[in-house]
Amino acid sequence: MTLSVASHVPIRARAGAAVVLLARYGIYVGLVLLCVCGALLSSAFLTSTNFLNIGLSVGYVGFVAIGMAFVVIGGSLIDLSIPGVIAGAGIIALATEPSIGALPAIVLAIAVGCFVGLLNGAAVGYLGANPVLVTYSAQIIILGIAQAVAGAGFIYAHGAAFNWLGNATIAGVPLVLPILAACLLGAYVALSRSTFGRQVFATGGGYQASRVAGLPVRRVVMTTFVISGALAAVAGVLMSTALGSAQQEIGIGYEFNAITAVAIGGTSLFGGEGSIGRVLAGVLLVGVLNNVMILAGVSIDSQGIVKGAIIVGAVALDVVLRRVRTR
Amino acid sequence: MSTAAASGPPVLRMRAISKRFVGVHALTEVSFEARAGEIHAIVGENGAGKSTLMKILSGVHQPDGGEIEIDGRPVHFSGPNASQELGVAMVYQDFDLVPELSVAENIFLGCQPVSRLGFVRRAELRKQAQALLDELAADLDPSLTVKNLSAGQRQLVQIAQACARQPRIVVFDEPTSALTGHEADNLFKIIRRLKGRGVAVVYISHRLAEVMAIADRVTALRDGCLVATRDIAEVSQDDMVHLIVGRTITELFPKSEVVFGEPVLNVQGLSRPPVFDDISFSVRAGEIVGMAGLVGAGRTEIARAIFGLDKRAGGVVTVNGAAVPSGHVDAAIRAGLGFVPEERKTDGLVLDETVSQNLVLSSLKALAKLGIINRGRERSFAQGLVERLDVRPPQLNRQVMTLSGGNQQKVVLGKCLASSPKVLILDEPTAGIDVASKAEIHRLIGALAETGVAVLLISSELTEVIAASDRILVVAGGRIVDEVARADATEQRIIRGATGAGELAKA
Repeated sequence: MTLSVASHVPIRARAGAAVVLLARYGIYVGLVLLCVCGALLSSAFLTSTNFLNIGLSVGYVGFVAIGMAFVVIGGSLIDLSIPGVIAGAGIIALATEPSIGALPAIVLAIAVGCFVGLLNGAAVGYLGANPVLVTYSAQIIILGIAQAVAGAGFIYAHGAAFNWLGNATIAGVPLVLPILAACLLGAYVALSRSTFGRQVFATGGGYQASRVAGLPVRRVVMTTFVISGALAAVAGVLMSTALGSAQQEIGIGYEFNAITAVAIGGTSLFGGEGSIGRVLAGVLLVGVLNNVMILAGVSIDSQGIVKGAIIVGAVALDVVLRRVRTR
Repeated sequence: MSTAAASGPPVLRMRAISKRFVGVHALTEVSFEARAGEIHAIVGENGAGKSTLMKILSGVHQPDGGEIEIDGRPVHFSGPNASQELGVAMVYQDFDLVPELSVAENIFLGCQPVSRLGFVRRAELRKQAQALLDELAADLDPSLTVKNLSAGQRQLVQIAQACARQPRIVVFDEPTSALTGHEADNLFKIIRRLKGRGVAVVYISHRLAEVMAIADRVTALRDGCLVATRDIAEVSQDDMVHLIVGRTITELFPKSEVVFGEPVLNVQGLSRPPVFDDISFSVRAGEIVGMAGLVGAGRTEIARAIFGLDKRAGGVVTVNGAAVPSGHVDAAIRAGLGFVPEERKTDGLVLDETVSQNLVLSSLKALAKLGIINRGRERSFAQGLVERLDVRPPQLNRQVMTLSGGNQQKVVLGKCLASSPKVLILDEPTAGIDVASKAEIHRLIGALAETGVAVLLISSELTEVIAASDRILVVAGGRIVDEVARADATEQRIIRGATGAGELAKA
């Protein structure tokens, strides 16, 4: 009369397993299929120049998406402060570089990014504030400060060091891509191999259970925001040195592009689920999709519709997945 | 005592009802009937299927198989409303009332007397509520606001609400679990009154003495199956225990003789008014101390405060003489405390994660070097725990969500054991798990006590607390009101302590 679980797993549970698999590996399949389409549609697709273009088009979003993945997996939904941090870091780096030198200016910019993350994280993690409202307020405040300090105009890069950084390449590849690769590797190790990564997954997947297990859940939540702030600042510095200028609007839209990539990669917006590999695949999918649509001559308006449809699909899958799991 | 023969024809017939949830047979071909003018008790352990059966009767769940008849006509409940229309009323353990509204408004929630212009006729509402309460002989002013009422008074409101629709069948689900002795007596009078009016009363309770006193017939469920339906006159309380668990008490709660060591856990003057106050006790190495009391008496809150999950207002907790700081779970675990929480699915497990990930959750630091987890060590560590606790199926990478309740609880226990606790606090450790796993978990607890672990066992099942504990602390109104040695432990004595002091606190 004991319960045997394995012998009669209901059909619905098996369908559930299929949905789980789809969420876990569907993104890679989708990416490969999209590349095949691209190759069939245009002979220009399978060229190293084109791949480099794709890489550059999604490079900065890549940094932001990594940080966003930490925030989302840790259970805090979204970091909306990112446009502010990107612009703020870019402006600070370019504005202070003439007086304090390139390296200190970069360190200062990233430190400010960390500090914004710290404030966001403290409000969400320790005070229990709503992450959407907290980080959106942070965005508005930072952009307001940037406006007050720098005005609506551009801050230009002056020094040789930034000039070099903005144009440097390694074996023909712009420096931003190897730096992104290093960050991806670091994030992969942190999330899937380190104690901290485990704590992030556990906190996002079961906050109360993690607390009872003795995990420092509040600090974990805070740290995910610090990571997000730091990476957004890195993106801001690289972006503004590459452009040779910074102003308060350079980061607008990045938060949504990043959350799109994260969601398409099958990271659960409810927290506790996701991987860096899939975040990267999500970022690439958006880049390749844009690229293929341009190569195929799809009109700008239709591009938006296609992207929107894909996001809706990813979010719907997330909800279905959650239902399957909690039933 | 009226016998079953004296009551009328069956009002309700449930035939061969089956219900499955993911991976679990909640009910397997259970049949049940209730006659007009009878009180029919359903007994069984947590997870035996009582609640599922009643949720099917109330239209919350749809059965996967079987049929329901009311007054001989087959019925199909598409939802709770359909069930109510056909004369089924439920009185649940958690009081589902709107605290800001008055007694009368709550009683007629959703079916108020309305004037032609669509306004609620207040005077009429009050009058009808008063009439209904009078009929139940309930001494309650219909104009009072519900949030100011005691648990017993709220229950009266709920019963009146149930009776407002002239039901044929009224289900009481653990109605006395939060009531004082006097309130419970009052409730029994009302239930007998309903019976006298020809209502079929279904009465669910863990308290067998109560069932013996009030019921005409009893149906026992075990692991989702019907065991037997008997006239109450034919069974003794011991028979009932045997029907419920399918084995003797000593088989279910194996108890080994342990020589106690020094006191390990010491709690002095622990308080967090108004929830609990002045809690002092100690547990020796190898000793199992039970903590009994009503739902809401403060036992869970005391456990959480000892473990550091909630802040304490005052008091000292020590393990082997070393103080356990307030509000730091991490420090409590390092000091040697282990805690198995009441809410397994939210507080005990990260449901999306695997067996292995859950087992190592409290021991991550020990398995890592420079912050990087050694996967080989993690695997062998988790493997060792799975074997020690006999988690089935023994798959480290299985999502804990897909395990049965009993095996989930073994994982929760394993997570605590991973940090080699000196003190283990168990809050309702066998709630909602099948009988076989229950016995296994008690064997594990016994084995831990033999190795010198001090155990604090909180349980609402008196049979469990009495059979498994060396000593029992009875908690009521946030205080320890009685301490009972194993030799003196009876259900009556514990209930007397648990319900008596509750009234003192309210006076």
